[in-house]
Amino acid sequence: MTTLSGKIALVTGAGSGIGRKSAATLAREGAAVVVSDVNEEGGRETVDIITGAGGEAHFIAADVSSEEQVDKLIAGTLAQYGALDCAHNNAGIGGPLVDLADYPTDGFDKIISINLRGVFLCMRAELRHMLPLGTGAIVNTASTFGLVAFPQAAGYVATKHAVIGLTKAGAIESAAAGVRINAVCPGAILTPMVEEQAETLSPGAPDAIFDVLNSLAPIGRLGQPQEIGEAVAWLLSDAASFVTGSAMVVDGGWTAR
Amino acid sequence: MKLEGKIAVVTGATGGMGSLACRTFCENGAVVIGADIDQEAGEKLEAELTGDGYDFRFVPVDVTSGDSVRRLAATVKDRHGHLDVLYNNAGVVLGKHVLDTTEEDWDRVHDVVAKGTFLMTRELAGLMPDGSSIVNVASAGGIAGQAGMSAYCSAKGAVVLFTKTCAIDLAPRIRVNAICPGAIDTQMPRNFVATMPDEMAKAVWDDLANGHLVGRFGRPEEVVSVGLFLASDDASFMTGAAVVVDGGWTAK
Repeated sequence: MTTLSGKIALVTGAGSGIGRKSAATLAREGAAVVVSDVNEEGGRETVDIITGAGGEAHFIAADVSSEEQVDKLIAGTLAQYGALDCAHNNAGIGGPLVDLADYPTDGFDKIISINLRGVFLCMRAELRHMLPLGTGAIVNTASTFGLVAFPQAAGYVATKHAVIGLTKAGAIESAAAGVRINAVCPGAILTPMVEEQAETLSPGAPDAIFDVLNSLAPIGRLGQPQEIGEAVAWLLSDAASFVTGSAMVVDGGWTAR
Repeated sequence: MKLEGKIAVVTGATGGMGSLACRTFCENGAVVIGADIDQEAGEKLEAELTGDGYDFRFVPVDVTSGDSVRRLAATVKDRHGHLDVLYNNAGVVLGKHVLDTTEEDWDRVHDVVAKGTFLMTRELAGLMPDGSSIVNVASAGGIAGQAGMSAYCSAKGAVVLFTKTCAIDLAPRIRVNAICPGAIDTQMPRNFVATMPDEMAKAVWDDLANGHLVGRFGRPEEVVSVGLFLASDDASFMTGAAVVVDGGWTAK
């Protein structure tokens, strides 16, 4: 029994990490998935993983910070599959890992353009399609950093807080029309982005960083991308039909304390 | 079959959301023990579910009594040796202005909602192995205030923070999460407004429906679907979360 049979789904940032597992999980649940990423190689690999498992997927390259490319992404999705029922706006970067006092302006502008402007552009384009039809579901990848702060990540913390705001703003405007919008807030998840950050912060000895990350959550370990994929698939399915405007925390208990 | 072979206890098993949770957990492969203070309704539920071929047993339990809860724990231990899912769903509702709320009102609501959840957790957690899950049915009223519901919101708020604290105390062995439903169309809210004059009842009912962005009450299956997800291994990295299922009530 699959929960997204016959649905058309779009996942941005699907070339690796959480987005890849989300796309694969949506496909497992019966959706045809448009896999989008700025990284063409990773995106095509995700498509291969899905089709190799018997699922349906199609790659469209897009830089979510570009209005033109996002509009083309939505048009391309409709051209390929004729519909767009579910969207997971997941593309994001970690940004500079320095104190706010040292945070570079160009680094700040860049993280805003992808993590915040990108989600805004995607949501707007998706809603322009979904609202007239009176149906649809959107999940945005926020973060525990959308709820609490962490040192040396001001740009990331700020953009993820903003994603929760965008989620709620979109949800209250769209609920009556039948479109649900929620955020998922992953805690520390073992993704290529986090692995890269650990290497940056502790060159040659990333385990020192992983020890810290493992101890952040009461559950005592990092999460796996699949554990976020399951939450996203659930939020996008009709099983979550009364859930909108929420920020669902999947963080092994990090923000419980 | 998300709960294949798991042993589950559901409190408040005969209510609208509790009885559906029992059925849904059974349908997903669990052996279910339904606990409720209402023996007659419990036996009826047992007849229905066993009649449909499910492994379901009713046990009369008063969640406000430590002795009663310990007897349930002993029964679960004798029959199954362990417990995988504890679904703390028993609750009562009270609509009264804070200045009209009596000490008895306050104690009753807190006994069932807060103390009941505590007693069930304390007495049954010892039977729960690695990877097991506790799900507490709190309320959107445990996050945001509601007019005329001070005792209820206070008790549900207690359940939310009890959940977060237990998630820490019981990690990494047991995941503990809360569900925060908005107003759900079960007999409970219908009984709640039935005590009011007709005109007021209609106004309160419409207010509740319109409090949700989606402009309607939730359906029991929309809450139980969250419970099933949290109880299952799909939610293996979720603990200490309060999952809002409120049609956007608390988003505005």
